[in-house]
Amino acid sequence: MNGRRFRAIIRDQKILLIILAIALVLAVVRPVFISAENLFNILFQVSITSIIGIGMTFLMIGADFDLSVGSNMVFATTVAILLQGSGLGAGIAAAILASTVAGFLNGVFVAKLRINSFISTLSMMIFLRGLVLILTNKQTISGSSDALFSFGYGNLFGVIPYPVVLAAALLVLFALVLARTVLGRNLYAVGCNEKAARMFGIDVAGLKIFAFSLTGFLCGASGIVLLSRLNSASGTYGIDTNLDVISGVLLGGISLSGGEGSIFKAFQGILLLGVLSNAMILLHVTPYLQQVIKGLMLMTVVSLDSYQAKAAAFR
Amino acid sequence: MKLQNLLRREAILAVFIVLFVICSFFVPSFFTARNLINILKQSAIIGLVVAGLTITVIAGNVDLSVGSVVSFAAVIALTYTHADLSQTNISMTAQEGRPLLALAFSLPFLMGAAVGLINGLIISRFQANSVIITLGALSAVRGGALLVAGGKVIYGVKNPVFAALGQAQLFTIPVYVFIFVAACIVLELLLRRTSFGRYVYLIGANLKAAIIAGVPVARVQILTFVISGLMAAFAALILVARLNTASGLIGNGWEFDAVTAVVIGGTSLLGGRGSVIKSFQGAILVTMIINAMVLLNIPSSYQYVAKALIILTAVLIDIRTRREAA
Amino acid sequence: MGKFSRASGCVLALLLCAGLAFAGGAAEAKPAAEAGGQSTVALMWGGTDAPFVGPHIRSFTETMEKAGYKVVVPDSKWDPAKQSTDVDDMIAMKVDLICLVPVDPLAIIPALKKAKVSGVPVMTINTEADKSANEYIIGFSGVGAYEQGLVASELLVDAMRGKGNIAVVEGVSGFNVCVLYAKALDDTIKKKKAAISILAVQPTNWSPAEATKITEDYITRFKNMDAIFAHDDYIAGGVIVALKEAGIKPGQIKIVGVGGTGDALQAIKDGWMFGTVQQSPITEGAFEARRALEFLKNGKLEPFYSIMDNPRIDASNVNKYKAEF
Repeated sequence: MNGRRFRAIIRDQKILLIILAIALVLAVVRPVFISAENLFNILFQVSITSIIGIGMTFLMIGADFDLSVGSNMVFATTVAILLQGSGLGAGIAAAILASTVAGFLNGVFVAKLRINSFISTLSMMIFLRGLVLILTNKQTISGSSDALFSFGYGNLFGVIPYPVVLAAALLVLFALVLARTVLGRNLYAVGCNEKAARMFGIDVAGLKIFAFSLTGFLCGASGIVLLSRLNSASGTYGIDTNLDVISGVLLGGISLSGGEGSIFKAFQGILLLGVLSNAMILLHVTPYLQQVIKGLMLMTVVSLDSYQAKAAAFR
Repeated sequence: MKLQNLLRREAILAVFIVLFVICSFFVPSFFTARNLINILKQSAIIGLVVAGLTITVIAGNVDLSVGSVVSFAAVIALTYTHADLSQTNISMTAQEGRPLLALAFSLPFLMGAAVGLINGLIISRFQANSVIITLGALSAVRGGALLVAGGKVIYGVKNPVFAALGQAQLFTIPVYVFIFVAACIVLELLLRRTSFGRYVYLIGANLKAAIIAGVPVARVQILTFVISGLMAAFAALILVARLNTASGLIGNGWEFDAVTAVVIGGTSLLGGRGSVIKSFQGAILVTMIINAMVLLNIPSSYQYVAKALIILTAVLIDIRTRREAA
Repeated sequence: MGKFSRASGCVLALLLCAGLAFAGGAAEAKPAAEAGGQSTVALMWGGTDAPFVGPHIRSFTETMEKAGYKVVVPDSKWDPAKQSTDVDDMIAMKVDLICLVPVDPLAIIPALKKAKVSGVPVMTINTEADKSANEYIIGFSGVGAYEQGLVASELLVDAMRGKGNIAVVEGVSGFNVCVLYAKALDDTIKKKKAAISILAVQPTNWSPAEATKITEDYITRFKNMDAIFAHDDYIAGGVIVALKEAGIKPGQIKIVGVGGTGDALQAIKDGWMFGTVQQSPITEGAFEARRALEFLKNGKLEPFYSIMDNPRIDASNVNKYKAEF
């Protein structure tokens, strides 16, 4: 009985266990790893991917995904900088609105025009990248005020970086939305079986458009976090953000075919990538080897996950 | 009526022809023999990757490791064409002595097949998600390429046999264009005329039904990944034969360009539908769009915007006509 | 029943053991990291996969290690946001000095400010950050992309004898170095009052294969193209492939690159390239490492700027240069 429960824990909390194992090893060989500064650095490093990861989880539960998140984030940063002349608040609001609209359009392409999410969001990614290059005139533009510096580099109670606080709040909020509301339940239903969901009278298109708009909104929020950190924008920012988010969320065990997953699972996946990257830097692993290890890690964990899922299905 | 049906079935071809005619009239120097050959040249090498990837996608998976396989294969190939170090300016690798052409030709293929085999084994045996597994492979293989190349550029020796692969011409058209066309035909026949091909469609359309029907699912899936790995290695050989340099950065982002061409061609990412010939059209369509924009001298930032809109429109037309047909 | 989960448990255990072994191995290989008090220097490139970066890292690391320092190399993947968080990591590790190549001249400023506040000195290398960052750093050593662009532009003007048409094959649209090269070219044309117009600028993502494609299209489109400015010698190689295949003779279209790779030196000898600007990653890495060592020894860096020469290489002096990379 005990053994079975132990195995169940291993099966269900695999990512968490691996994170803990890495942490344990690092704490021994590199004590600096468990310094508060380093731990909050890691949380900070994953805060942007976590915020976008929330939206990506919503999408993947509904069997969609979004490749335009990085471009959309930088788009928000750019809009905020360009419009800050009429007040920082107005710039931020306009930026988030612009990103939400881009997300909404993705939703319309996918849900109404029935273009698959790969092509819709890829086009949006290229489009927004071009738009940012045009808006910035192919240069780096910078924010005029340092007003956001105290947000990007400030800490709550002197230790917790504000972006981490923001990410945590959003994670909890949307985890509740997903787990406790009709909207969340319907989303799982759509991901499991779109046709059946439609027959039960669920507004499938509406839900999908909502999930894409939410992702756009969260990209906007991330764009503001980015602004607070970099105080600048250019068309060369955020190129790999989409793959970072998608690999993290998938690593957390959310399936691309929809119908399963949770916000916290996704966060664990993203956190694992952050911890791994930090650990490899602390261990002085050379960059090329870092890529090899990260790749093999992804493959191993996901195979293990799938293997166990298959085994569970056998039982 | 018949024409209508044809249009519906061949929407992307129709889009291609319409754009082609428009470009011929309005884009300077577009409709010249040299430029048309250029478009073929520019689509051929990545086209080999696209052709291989199509089969994987029809079987319901996707292989994102192909771009990295291109770089790893390129690095290996050039490392072993160092037939005679005295001909190079610099000794970029530790390879010494005699011609190792046989290795230069075979090792990249072995590596491509091995990566495909590992991807395929994991994905078929554990029913793992192909996106994340091949994303992992993308990272690992590129890291491997950078390690082998030492983060530098490797220059090849101008070995005549090897160079011919990238530089020989037939009727002023490079030989590799013919290789590309031939590869597409062979792969298309493989899909249409063999039981392997039937299995690929069946697995992509309905995995459960395929298992119940006794299709050797694992073996077929593995083979699709091996094919995409092999085709990526093949593309890499031609690429380095032509450019004579390789680095861990070569082929960067090709996975996305290749998947885009496959999807524009009308092959569904859900599997079960599509063909190599369609992907061929997709690849040439994308190349033609970019070619026309460069000829029109559109600034790169506006090119991004235009490219996005054209891809979206082309796919939208394809989807619309297909739905009307259904 | 339990077969699968037992097996998976074993796999997990194995994985953890492997993790432990790898971590332990890494720790063993570099024993003195924190315990022995050996000093560490961070070398922060924007990304590590570009061909120039590999030899630079090796040369920099060798010089530092000979002097008894350890070098840690994070990989920022050409992402300004990642680079700024990597700076956080280096601050947490309490490295003795950060040598940093900014991915973006403006985006890095807040991170430099934080480093300054946290008491970790930063020297920018290779490419400068925006001048407004100077109050946060101890100095700059490197080549000066703008100055380099000026040398390349002069080569172009000379190659064309002051008049004609240039097509540009650039690295990445909006990338710091490319912006500076473009500015240098504009400024040079204006300053020399040359009758030179720029026909087109297209990005290659630093890929020789893309450079070949774009050059093919340039050849088709522009019958009046006199010169091509390639933003580095690797993509200049791609340009030459396209010219060769189109049956164009060496020197018919003048090519200018940046770098001085073995391939480029050969191309200058063969007449394919008009010239290039010398920038050896090996010389540069050692140069910047020596400046870092100077600071670590004296606790200050004099002078603030130390900019390497950007020698111009053309047919007249190409034989003086050895192929280093």
